[in-house]
Amino acid sequence: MSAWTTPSKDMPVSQDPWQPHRATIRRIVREIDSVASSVFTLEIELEPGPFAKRYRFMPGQFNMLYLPGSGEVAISHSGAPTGVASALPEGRFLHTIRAVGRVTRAIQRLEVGDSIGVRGPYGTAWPMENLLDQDVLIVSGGLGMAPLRPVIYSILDQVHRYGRVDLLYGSRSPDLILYESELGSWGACGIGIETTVDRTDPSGVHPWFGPIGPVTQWIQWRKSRTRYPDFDPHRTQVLICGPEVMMHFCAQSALEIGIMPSSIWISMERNMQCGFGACGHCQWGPFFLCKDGPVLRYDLAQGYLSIKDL
Amino acid sequence: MTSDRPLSGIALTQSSLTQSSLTKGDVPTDLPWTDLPHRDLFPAKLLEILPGGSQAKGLAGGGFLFREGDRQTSLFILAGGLVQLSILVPGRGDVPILTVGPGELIAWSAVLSKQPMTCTAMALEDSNLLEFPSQSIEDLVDRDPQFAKEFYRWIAFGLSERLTATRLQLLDLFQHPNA
Amino acid sequence: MQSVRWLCQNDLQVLLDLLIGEGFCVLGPTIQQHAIVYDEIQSIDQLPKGWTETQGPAVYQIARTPDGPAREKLFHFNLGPHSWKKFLFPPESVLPSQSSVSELAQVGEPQGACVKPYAILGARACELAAIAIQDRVFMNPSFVDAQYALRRKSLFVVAVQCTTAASTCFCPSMNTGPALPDPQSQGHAFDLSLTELTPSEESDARNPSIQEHGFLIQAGSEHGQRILERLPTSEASPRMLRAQEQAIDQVAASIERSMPTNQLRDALMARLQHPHWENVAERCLSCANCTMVCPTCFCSSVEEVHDLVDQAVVRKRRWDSCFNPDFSHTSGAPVRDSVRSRYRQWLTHKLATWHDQFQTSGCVGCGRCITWCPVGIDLTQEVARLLES
Repeated sequence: MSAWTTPSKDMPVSQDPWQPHRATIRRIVREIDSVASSVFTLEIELEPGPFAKRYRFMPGQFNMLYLPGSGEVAISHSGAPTGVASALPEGRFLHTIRAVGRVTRAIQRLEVGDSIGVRGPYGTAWPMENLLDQDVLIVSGGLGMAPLRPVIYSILDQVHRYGRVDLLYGSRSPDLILYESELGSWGACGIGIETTVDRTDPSGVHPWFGPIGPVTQWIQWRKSRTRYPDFDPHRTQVLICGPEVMMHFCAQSALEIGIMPSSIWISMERNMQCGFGACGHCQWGPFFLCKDGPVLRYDLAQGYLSIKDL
Repeated sequence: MTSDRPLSGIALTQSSLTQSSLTKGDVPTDLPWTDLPHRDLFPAKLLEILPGGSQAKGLAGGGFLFREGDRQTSLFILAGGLVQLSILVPGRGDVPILTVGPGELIAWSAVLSKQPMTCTAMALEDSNLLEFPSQSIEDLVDRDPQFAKEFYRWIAFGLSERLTATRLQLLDLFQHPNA
Repeated sequence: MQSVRWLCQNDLQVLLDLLIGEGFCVLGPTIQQHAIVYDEIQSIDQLPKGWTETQGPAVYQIARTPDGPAREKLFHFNLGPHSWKKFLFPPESVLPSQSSVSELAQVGEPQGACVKPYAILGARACELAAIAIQDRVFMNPSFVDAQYALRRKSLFVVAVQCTTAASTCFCPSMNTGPALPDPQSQGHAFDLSLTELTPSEESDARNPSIQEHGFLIQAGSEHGQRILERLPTSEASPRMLRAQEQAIDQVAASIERSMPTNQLRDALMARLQHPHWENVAERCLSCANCTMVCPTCFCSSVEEVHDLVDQAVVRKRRWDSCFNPDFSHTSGAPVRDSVRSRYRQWLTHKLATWHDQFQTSGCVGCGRCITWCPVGIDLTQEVARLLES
């Protein structure tokens, strides 16, 4: 193609992609309230109008939430996606947020009835199509559970369309397990739940008698025929979400038990500002994580994960 | 078997038996070859010294494999189940630090250092173990240099995997609070 | 073939007047603070007639053109620190979401659009390529930047054929010059093009013809054609056309710097851990000059600006740079916290991953980054060293 060709000079100027849309906070749920972490879930409702009407999202996608005066922050959807029976009504969705920076702390101070701006949905989705008729291993580290919960809700909606589904959930300590109260019901619906912590809770407030150690072990133990007689790496898809180091080692463990790199999916995180590939902040190798990610197939990302300061 | 529910009735008291609670039970009599740790490196001759053939021994959930301070004389492969390692901390009690799973080694210090066990091992759920008396291993090591080479390479590999797992545990624990 | 006409040098003012009369804000090269920059002009007297520059790594110096025919030229120089992105993608712009602290506005039309459309005078071949590249960045299937699109649609481009080259130029190896694109085969890259000729170039010993200085002028679009028809042009002689060809050949031959481009994308991505990055990092100041003068760099950041009186909040988008230490701030700390990783990001993005993203190289061979680097880092050299092993 000629260096001077401008393919889309005549593209119509549609709604400006920087334009936030107003939403109202309908509900706030405190998820984790410990010294280490303050995590809450917002249920927000878009103002009625064309944007709310056409808003659809898939598991793994995110919104840019905007607070005038503070700024914007990229937050994954953590509720049931569009089309799933348990999804909220049109224009309503859930975001689980940790108050850790300037914008998220400001959002934490909002109350029911306050306004917040929304741009989205952005990003690639978890490959739900690839999971049909397959065994699914969902590996979550810490708050990585938030972008994965929409996957669980999707699966629970039509659980018969999937093979064996297991959630491996690793948390730093028992008090930081997200959505703990839901784990039981997910287990009751047929999802295998295996949770582990790095350490027990020294305060004794959250007694823990379960396993201790990194979640990578739970992937490695799948080699055990006695424990997992039905495990078949050739029909297993693995979704991993959590801190980058955790995802890297979990993917390695998955490869060691025979899973193909193209059957492993991760969700990468970088500084996001625009959400649509214009500001350059979220670049990671060739990818704009806001539009080529955050969900990436591991074989395409593998080479870049080992370069920590890419 | 899920492990997200607390095991009831487990009281870690000092009055429990100090001997290993291994018993021969109704467990699969054939060794599941695929469960062997690092199968490619596994020194096949190790199976020759298993007393009573390749039968795995059972340990009921809540039972103790060994106690901190015990002089242990056997190396174990956990064939099935989960075993919790814990360390006694004065003023805090027995602190669980790591769970060992199927296909992993336990009590290699019985062979490597002959020192007393530095932690307590308790079955988190019904488990099966292969027990290798350390004296038999040493005899074989003395007799057979090829076996010795294979055996120590195999143990080293297992140790390095355990080290990686522990490092990940530490990395998560010492992460930047905003991570 | 669009017909080529001849325009005398003084009649260039007629072109400016026509464009100003149509409501354009005409931007062109002019001397400010010892540099040739782009700014609004109304008269050809504001053009740097008889000026040229010397460029090299960390060197930029304007000087009077040496005595001779070239002394009469209006465009006997190449590129300064400005690129046209300064106007199409301004360093600071207001995003369309003015809102008060308590209310969010519902705005339909993009705000902050320019009042007058721009006409740029003096766009070089590499700059046309750079504009086409930024078109892909800001107007693509993922999104259309409304402000950029508005300015771009209304842009009138008068391109100028380079008849001299700076030592920092390397457009031939990037396939972006020095010749201007042919309007027939290479799309609407410009509305009008000018090739400046002086008597020694278009006369020969046997037949000294037109003694005036002037331009071969050609239309590259319908709008350009309409303007051209209103200019006092005369026929261009075959001798002039030959002189034009010669001038272009001479310029191309004079360019020595080159970028090794064979399989460059793969070669760079295979060398992300190459020890040479450390070598560059020892020299690079991470000052971000290169990204500011680069005509294709597009990174930006958004800032909330309070007006404490009205309680209004204005969102401003500003140029940012991957060289800024905080640019990659994620989960508490920047990911690229070394100069080495930031330089690598810039170079591999510009020359390698840009292909993955936009199906073209991000570099047009303009050489500005070489000139304006305070320590004179030359990316063609750095690439050559990387590819050595």
